[in-house]
Amino acid sequence: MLRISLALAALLVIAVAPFVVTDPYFQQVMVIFGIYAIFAVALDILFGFLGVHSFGHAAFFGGGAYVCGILMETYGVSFGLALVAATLFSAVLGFLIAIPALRMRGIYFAITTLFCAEVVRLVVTNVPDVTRGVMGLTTPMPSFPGVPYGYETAVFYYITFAILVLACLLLERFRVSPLGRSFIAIRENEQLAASVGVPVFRIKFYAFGVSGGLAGLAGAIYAPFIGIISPDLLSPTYSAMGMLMVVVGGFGTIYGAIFGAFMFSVVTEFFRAAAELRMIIFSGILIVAIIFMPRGVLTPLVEYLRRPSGKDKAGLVTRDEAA
Amino acid sequence: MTHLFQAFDITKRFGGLVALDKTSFHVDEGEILGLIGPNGAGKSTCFNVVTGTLRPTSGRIELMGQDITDAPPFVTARLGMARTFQHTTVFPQLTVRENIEAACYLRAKAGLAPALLRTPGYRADQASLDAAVDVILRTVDLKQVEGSRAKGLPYGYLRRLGIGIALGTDPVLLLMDEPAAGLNPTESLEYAKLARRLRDSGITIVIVEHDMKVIMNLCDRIVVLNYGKKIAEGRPDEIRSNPLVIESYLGKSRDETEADHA
Ligand SMILES: Nc1ncnc2c1ncn2[C@@H]1O[C@H](COP(=O)(O)OP(=O)(O)O)[C@@H](O)[C@H]1O
Ligand SMILES: [Mg+2]
Repeated sequence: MLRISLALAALLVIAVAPFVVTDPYFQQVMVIFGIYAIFAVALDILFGFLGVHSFGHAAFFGGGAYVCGILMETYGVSFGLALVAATLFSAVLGFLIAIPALRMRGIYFAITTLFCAEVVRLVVTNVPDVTRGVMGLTTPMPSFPGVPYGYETAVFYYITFAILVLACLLLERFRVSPLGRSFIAIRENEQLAASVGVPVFRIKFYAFGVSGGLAGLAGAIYAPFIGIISPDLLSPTYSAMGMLMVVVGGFGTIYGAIFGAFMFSVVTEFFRAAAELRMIIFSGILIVAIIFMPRGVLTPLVEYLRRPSGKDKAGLVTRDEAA
Repeated sequence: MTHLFQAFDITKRFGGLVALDKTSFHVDEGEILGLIGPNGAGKSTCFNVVTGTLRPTSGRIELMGQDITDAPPFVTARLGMARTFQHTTVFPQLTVRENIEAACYLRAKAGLAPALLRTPGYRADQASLDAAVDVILRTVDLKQVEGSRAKGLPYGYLRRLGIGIALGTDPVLLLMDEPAAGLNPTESLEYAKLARRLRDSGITIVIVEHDMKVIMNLCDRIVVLNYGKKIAEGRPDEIRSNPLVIESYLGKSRDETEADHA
């Protein structure tokens, strides 16, 4: 019941936010928040559910952004079609990167994903005929029929959050389904998961495609919204940002990823006064948070609120016995 | 007559070490087979090889007449073979109930799309899964702690949870690697009872166990390994009086063995 009320409250807040926050700049910040949240949720599929630590997710985010940007700018493709194409492109890229990466373990896996993302960045940088290289690619503002001038941000806002809400709904349903449990089993103990019949490699492979596709979709919204994208979008900085968003909020929980995205978009705005220092201050806070709360800022709090009263007594007793 | 499970001349080498040396054995439906031998005899390696966790260097393995020599663990599990591990193996961050749910992967019939759309078929499947999880929780006597996180539970509970996880696959053949290791005598007896109950419910069992009393009472047949070789095979009374076994394995507890005879 509490969950449903919370979800409804969140939906209500999302629906009315653009009417309350009318400042154009802050409306833009909210869209960025939504885009980052989709990106973080995509990463959480691999990171939080499967325990697969991809260090190259900027490839999917940036790849989706470039595919969308090129299609719209160079080929005049409509925004909707470009979103679909970018998502498919990043999904395929996910499968391609998964093939070598999933054969690696631990640090080698991390290096492979990082390396693959660098390859994508180098390609984008070095084919200026297509991507404009380091100059950056401008992307036209899509035309939204029937929307008066000046309201594009609001349209972006609702598109972004509709996708985010849908993704979260499906992911939450997935998380509590038998297949979802098996995902988490892989994160917890891969060998044991395999021993109960979970096809570990195949699941990781598919997850790479889904996660890549969703990250690509986030990037595809980002490109025309921001208006200009550069190969920086494919740099390890963005991969690291994605991972930090997931880690800070608490991985494997979905809401943790959204919280992380909130920290990286809305909250950083409050540090604007500190100008150049703001990323340093912010990074400091993050490092401290991760050291003292390795399971994320939100997870312990939510667990505390959720702990069953009385019913869990048996569990508590046994834990004491173990001590 | 065909056996439920058969291993033909399986050999496993780790570099120069021959952990399993042309070992052949079979398991018949409905029996409890004991696999014994001194430490390092190759018992765990044998489990790893037959379940596909490790590839045999040579030899052939059959389950219900089907060649499973090169089948990876998730395939042997699907074909009906489940195993527990010598070292406690659970999903630590999940609750006891979630541990079993995660292990029921093979029982879930509804696919991804029905799960996302919450179709009536999915709900029905979910209800039957819930019931199956309850049965397993009761079987391994963990229903009362189903909401507790596995991490931090007492050792005895974790050993039982390990068995519950294996039962999640709805196995035909269950391999248990030293299920009683580290348990006190009362808990060990509980184990033997549980193994018998599982057998009576139709699961064929192979068990590695060090306590000779438990093994002799529990098993229908025993296979003895030493340095990776099968040195004896037979009914408990035959094993007890086998000179080779006494020399290489029972020798060190000869007094106890003779006391049993008396
Ligand atoms: N993964 C492995 N790599 C190398 N050597 C191993 C491995 N697993 C087992 N061994 C070796 O194989 C032999 C048999 O071990 P094991 O099967 O664990 O014996 P048991 O379970 O009967 O005590 C031991 O000498 C052990 O050190
Ligand atoms: Mg062993």
